[in-house]
Amino acid sequence: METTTGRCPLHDIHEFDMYDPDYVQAMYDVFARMHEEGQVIRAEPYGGWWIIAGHEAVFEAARDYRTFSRHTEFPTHCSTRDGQRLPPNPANDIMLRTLIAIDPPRHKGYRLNLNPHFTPAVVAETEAMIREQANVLIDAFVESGRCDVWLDYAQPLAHIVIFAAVLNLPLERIPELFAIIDALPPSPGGHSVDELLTSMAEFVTDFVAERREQPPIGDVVDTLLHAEFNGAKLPFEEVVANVVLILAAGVETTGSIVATSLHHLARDPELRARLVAEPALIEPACEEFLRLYGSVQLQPRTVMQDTELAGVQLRQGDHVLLAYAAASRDPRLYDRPQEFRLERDTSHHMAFGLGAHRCIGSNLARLEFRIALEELLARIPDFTPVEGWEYRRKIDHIQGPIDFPITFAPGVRRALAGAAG
Amino acid sequence: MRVVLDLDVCQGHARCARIAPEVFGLDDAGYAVLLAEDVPPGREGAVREAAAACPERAIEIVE
Repeated sequence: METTTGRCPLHDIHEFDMYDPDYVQAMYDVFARMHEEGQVIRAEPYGGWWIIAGHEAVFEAARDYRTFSRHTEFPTHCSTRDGQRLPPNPANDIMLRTLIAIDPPRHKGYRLNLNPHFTPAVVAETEAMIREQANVLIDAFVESGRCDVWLDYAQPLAHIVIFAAVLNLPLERIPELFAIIDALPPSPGGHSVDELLTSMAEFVTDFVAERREQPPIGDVVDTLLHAEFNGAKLPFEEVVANVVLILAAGVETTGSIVATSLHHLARDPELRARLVAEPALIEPACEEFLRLYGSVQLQPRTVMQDTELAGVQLRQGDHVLLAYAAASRDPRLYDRPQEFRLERDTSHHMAFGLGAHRCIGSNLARLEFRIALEELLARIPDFTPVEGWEYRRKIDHIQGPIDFPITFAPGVRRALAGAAG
Repeated sequence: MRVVLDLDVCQGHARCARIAPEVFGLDDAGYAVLLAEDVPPGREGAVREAAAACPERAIEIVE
């Protein structure tokens, strides 16, 4: 979907449309314009939404689940661009019965069951596997001197981590997934998370059905299949929907920050050389990348009672988008927020959100992100975007590139390197 | 120096346990637990850093 309204994103911030390529490609400049105007900005498309852009206002709204309910959907799921309500869609309705769209106190029952699969100690057990798989992917292109960072590395690694390490799909079945993605018709704006998940729906449903028949191994799929959530087991369709949610939340997001950060490093050779020379700096660098390029840019809320936020009157029933990506670049909190600064205090970036719905997989995402940079920089320390290529963002609420082809001095595969040594 | 943790506010970002593991641990669901209410000598700096880094502002320091 590559339709533009022909509006100027920087002049018409009140026409902000998260699906209009003109706005998407200029997203960070649009957020900067919003910061000049205030913390809470009115956007008229899709029946009228409030964009919460200020860090302080996002902090307040994200933690106040009573006033700002997550039991809601993104603008295009509810309304046409000119504000006509859309009829209910079963595919969206089932997602309203998953972890992400259930408010506290019921939400806590889900988190107490599912959080244990995502603690630092538990995700640390996947480190060796992630590292190995990153190197398997690098082996496939390192001798050729060229690859697509997104299509050949970040995106497949993100799929492998969630499907194999989290959902325990056997590694040898991963190619089935890639075949599904490869069979998708080309899309000029990149495949959205919705498109990818729709294409995998049948595969995921079959996988969960198979797991239901197998002896439990105690992973997150088994918890969804067998545990009681607030006193009752989940119906099968909700088990599947929650698995789909884990995919939606964990795959494109982590892959995108890996690719976007490597794109940043392609344009900043000095920083890249520093990280290659001192790999211990990769961890703090990851946090500054998360501040600058956090994948989940916006999250919806519905106002449950009249309230005032940063001096703006909101009414019950109003639609809101928490602009986490804008908050992480708020000039009220960060000096020269558009600049990468390794020494910056990044602890209050909002890449993983805030409040009850903060990203359940943040520990895994941080691990995967760091390993992906460590392994690629160790083996391909110097790389350049293919000449003539330009960074284009996917048209989606996840920020990330459509592709990212690079060239580099060819290296050797690990097995060959070992044999030579 | 004492530490007060607001468990109603903690969402399990796990930053405190990363920064000051002598004072902050995590329970099975990844939420913070206080390992020591009274901060061991020499760890005041790390604990202050952990409190400042909490995205939810769930950690209070009583001097």
